[in-house]
Amino acid sequence: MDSWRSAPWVFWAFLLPGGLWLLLFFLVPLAMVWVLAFGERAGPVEIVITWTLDNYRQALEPIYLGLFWKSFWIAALATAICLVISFPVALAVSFAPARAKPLLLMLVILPFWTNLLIRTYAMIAVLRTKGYLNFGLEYLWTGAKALLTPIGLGELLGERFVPLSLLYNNTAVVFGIVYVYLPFMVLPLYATLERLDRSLIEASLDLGASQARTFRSVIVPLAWPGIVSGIILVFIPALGTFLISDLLGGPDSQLIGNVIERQFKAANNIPLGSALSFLLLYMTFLALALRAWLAGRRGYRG
Amino acid sequence: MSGIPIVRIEGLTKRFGEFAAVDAVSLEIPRNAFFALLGPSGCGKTTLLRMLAGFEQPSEGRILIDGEEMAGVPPNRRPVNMVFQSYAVFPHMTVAENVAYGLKVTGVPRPEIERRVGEALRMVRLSGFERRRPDQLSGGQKQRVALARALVKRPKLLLLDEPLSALDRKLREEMQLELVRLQHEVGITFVIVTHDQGEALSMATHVAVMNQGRVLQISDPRTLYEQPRSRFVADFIGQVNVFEARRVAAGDGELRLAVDGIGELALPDERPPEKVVAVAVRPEKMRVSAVPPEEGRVTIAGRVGQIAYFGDHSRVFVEARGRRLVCIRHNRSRREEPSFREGDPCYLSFRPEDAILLSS
Ligand SMILES: Nc1ncnc2c1ncn2[C@@H]1O[C@H](COP(=O)(O)OP(=O)(O)OP(=O)(O)O)[C@@H](O)[C@H]1O
Ligand SMILES: [Mg+2]
Repeated sequence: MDSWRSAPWVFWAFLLPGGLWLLLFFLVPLAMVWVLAFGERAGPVEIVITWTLDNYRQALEPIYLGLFWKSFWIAALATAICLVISFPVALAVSFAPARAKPLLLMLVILPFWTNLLIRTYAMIAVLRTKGYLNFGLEYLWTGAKALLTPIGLGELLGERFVPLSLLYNNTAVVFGIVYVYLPFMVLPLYATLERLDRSLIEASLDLGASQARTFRSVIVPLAWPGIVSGIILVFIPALGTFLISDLLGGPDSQLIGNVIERQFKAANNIPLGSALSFLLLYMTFLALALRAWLAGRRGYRG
Repeated sequence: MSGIPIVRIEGLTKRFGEFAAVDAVSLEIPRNAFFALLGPSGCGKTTLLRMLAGFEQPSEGRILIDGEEMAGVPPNRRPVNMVFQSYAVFPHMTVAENVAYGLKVTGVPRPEIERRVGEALRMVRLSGFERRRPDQLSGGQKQRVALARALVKRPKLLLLDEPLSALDRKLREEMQLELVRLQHEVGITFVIVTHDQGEALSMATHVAVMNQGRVLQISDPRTLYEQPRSRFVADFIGQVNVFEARRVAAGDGELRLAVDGIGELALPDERPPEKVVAVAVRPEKMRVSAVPPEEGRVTIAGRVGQIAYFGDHSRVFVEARGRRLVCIRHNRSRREEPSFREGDPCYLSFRPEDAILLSS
């Protein structure tokens, strides 16, 4: 497939629309933000580019570093939970009868067809103090109380049902990220597991390995490319999320994404926001470099 | 212990929905046999093998390996190892890691693993390839890794599902000899699936011919070739000329048959089957000549239809009484001129005792 060499203009013609699009709407704005990070505010809307490093200096203050660190951990935790939940799901779908597969995959993707905002509000309805989850728990509590009271154990459950505070804290944020980004983990995992040669699994069992050993020594290593893709696809957007932490988080659930958003809007400190954005971008590059390293270390690419 | 067969299969049936892929198979595999399962595509060979390995559950019947009932025993607890048709060599492990895997997962101590892996690799002639990755191996080498990986476990039974079908002909012939050598060396019972009859005949001590889920005949290769019992087996193993036949009389050490296209035929009556429906003659037992042959041979007059040259032999197709019969002529001398041309009249003949009686 290097026939484009013989007709270079065809190649360029195909490249042009996409290339222009990327240039105009991605690279140019990115360069603008990069430049703005070296600017100073000279009025309510005016910014002069003085090539100062103050914004970066400010962005590296402990308060922001702490936020970066926290965002990193929340994203990492959510990614890990996604991985643990997705692996069995992806495995089950790839082993399902051929006729059931499209349906199962659709169930995984289905939430995607709903707007992110609406989905997140739905989460609020589920998690809040008077939400569906607490209703369910209360229902169970009442049942248990009715059962235990006659045998004198009713005291154990307390006077009244105390609803769990599930919303407006860090747990809710992690929960929300897991919920929103789960398909990004399931799909790449499914794609690699689907291609995995079944006879390799049978060979492992045949050689005396248990199911668990086969999972650890054969399935996971061979699904490695999918695991890495899934981690990247969940971790990077989770790192910069601000909508989920805004809606589901409490006062102490501010993530770096929220701070950046505030600089561009309410705080009107675009240079600082730009500097923070670029720091986040560098963290992402670091994650991608880590991915390349991990993929190289395993030495096996499907 | 050595009195009981290594494998005993009783009334084994496997259904996929309504369809019986393996249909009421009963057989025994003697210890140290080189047992070949032979049959056309889709006849249930792989299914039978997978039931032995434990990957498929029988719908009916049972399997005993070394006298032990196998129902409910998962694949990782059976004294059986399998060489997969696709080799199934682990792509993320080196050759040595592949071979060591089955020992490592069962907790064999490290020094013993190293010794046995070295031994197994020597046996399949892959010493020096320990650190190679599977994608740096040829098909034949991968196949030998799969073999070493199974042999190193010292199973009671080694199952091989068309292990040679992906190899080119020369390599396949080499590996056939290699497998026979290995089997002698390790003294493990081999069950090999193949749909190549030459492979089955040349390697195996026992051959089972299957068709549509059923086992039609189990014999040593020579009996299978020289005394097939059914038309299917006669036709599947090598080429054959079949003539419909009917029993006319028997007795006095002689069996008289009315044979279509030949007329009445008297055969030495050695253990004739209950029923005779046809007579078959192998092409190499036929002789083609320009003049009528000597007395005592059954003769059919015809015309040379076509001659196919194969180097070491030629196949001469003869048109006789509206049928096409085939005969093999060995090309014994470089100087021999082709003595027939297409359209020449000729005589086909065979000795009566070379006729095979088919009972179905
Ligand atoms: N999982 C399955 N579900 C339904 N039918 C099956 C299944 N596995 C095998 N079969 C059917 O059972 C029959 C026997 O299959 P099997 O694989 O044992 O054939 P085979 O003798 O090994 O053929 P080949 O020489 O082509 O490998 C085939 O008709 C096949 O379509
Ligand atoms: Mg098969």
